[in-house]
Amino acid sequence: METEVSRKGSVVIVSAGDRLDSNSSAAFQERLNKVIENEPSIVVDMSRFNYVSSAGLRVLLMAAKQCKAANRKLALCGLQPDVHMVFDISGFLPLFSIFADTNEAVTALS
Amino acid sequence: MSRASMRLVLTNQLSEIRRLTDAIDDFANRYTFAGQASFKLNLALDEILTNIISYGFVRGAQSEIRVDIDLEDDKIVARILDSGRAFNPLDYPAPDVGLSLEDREVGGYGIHIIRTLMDEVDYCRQGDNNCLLLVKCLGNTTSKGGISNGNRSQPKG
Repeated sequence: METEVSRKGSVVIVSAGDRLDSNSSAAFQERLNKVIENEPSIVVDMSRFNYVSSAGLRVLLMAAKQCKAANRKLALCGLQPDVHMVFDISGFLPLFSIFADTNEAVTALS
Repeated sequence: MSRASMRLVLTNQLSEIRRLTDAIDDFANRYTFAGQASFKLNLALDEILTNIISYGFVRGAQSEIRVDIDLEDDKIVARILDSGRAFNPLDYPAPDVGLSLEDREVGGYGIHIIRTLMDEVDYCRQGDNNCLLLVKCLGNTTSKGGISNGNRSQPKG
């Protein structure tokens, strides 16, 4: 899994795909953590993830906790329907700021 | 009665889960239960296999995990057999999915996902083996109302 990091103004966008699971979550977490350490506003573009298991949920939840503790702004965007369903049944939807796409998310965080 | 079956023997490595996923996708496409049912079955199997492979064995020990899947008229039945340490996923309480970010547990969602997405989950210890039964009913594309507080899933009908 290749993780891409880009910037729009003051917001950093982290994007990867296609599966966030027990095989790929450690590498994604490492990359995301580095961004959170160094940047005040982060958007995780989920649009290329067609699959997120609990290993992925764990990484995103830890990132949200880390952002809250470090006073960072974090938003997610582009959740595919299956991924949205996994968030829903795990009660994750209220824990995150979730937007339709990167433009909306970047606007909200800028 | 079983209309079609697939049998797979995996080694206890996380990379093997992808092989199972690919095999189930092929099987689902051939027998036309692709879509929500195959996605949910794949996710439930991923969750239990990740648990078994990550925690079931002494580090470095090699073992095999057997996955049998039977497609019946109105449901898919998966049986997972492993010789790891005794592990009954139904013994674990569901995380409280209503808690705030600060109070949220970071773990426990895998078993919660299995219970929520499957229509029946049953565990038994047979000799030195864990046997887990997962049943997904077909023609039922909705999840079971999302948040499950029950200790175990019950078969429908």
